[in-house]
Amino acid sequence: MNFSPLSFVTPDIITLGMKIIILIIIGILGISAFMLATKIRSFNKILFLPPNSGGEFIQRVCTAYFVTVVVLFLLALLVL
Amino acid sequence: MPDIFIHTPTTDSAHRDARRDTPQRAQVQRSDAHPLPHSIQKPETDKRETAPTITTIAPKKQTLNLFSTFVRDPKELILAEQHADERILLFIRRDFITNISWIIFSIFLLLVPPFLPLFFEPLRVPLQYFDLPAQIIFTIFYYVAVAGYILMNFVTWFYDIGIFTQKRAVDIDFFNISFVSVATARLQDLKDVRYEQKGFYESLFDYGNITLSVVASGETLVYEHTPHPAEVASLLSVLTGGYQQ
Repeated sequence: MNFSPLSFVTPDIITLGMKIIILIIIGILGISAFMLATKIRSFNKILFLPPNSGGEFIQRVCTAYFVTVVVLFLLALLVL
Repeated sequence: MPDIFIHTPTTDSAHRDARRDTPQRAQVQRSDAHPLPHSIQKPETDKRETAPTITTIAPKKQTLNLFSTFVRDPKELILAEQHADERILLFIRRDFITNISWIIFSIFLLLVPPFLPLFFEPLRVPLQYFDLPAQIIFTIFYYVAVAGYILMNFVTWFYDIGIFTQKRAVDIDFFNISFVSVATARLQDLKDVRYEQKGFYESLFDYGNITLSVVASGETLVYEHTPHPAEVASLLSVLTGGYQQ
């Protein structure tokens, strides 16, 4: 009987594995984005940057980035 | 009218005294009854006798913006727990030219996906494993990850800050998400100020490292890739009353 230990590795398995890995990576990205957004908030408290100097802008960008990653994660969960 | 004048005194003892005092202290002492070195009591006369060695801090307040790297007397910038009589004299960030490597790499990453089939076709790697929605999600994920890389690098640069008031030096470092450092040293605790410019690019773009030695702890504050390091070091050496190395 001809048995290969890698016979279970079918294209479907590879696809499923890649999808799970992508979901995990997006999750890690989301956690990192959340950490970044909170850290920026605490930093802006140490340093009261004047308006138009970019501190608030960076904070908003980080928050928007976090929201984007969360939306992407949900989309990936639904689509993949 | 400039805010700080340092005059070259005529005698050695006066020279030592003038260096030991910060400009603010010197101003306070002028109103005291104690006898003072001739050079401090009569600055107008000294001006005529000797040329001023250093340094005038910019008379006008400058505004900060998103890409500011070197701002004297920054407008409206306030530190947490800043004293009422404390004034921020200088705000520095890492020189913007140091960002060039990650900017070029990011542009490369942004341009990769359209050319991806060209790389995979010769290797005979099938890209048709995934249906169209999955491919769209992967593409969006890729660009979001690249955006994260750009954001992280920019934030790391943006919050790599040095601030000098007439009382203390503050060094704020932000490295990725995991490392944040805020170090403060009183100017009177600083032993020496040193700056170094190594290599072609540092000389070409006029940036370098500034090292401050703290007497009390024996540690050093390092401001890396600071623009105009000679100017910063000379200002600091005046404020600390020490020599520049």
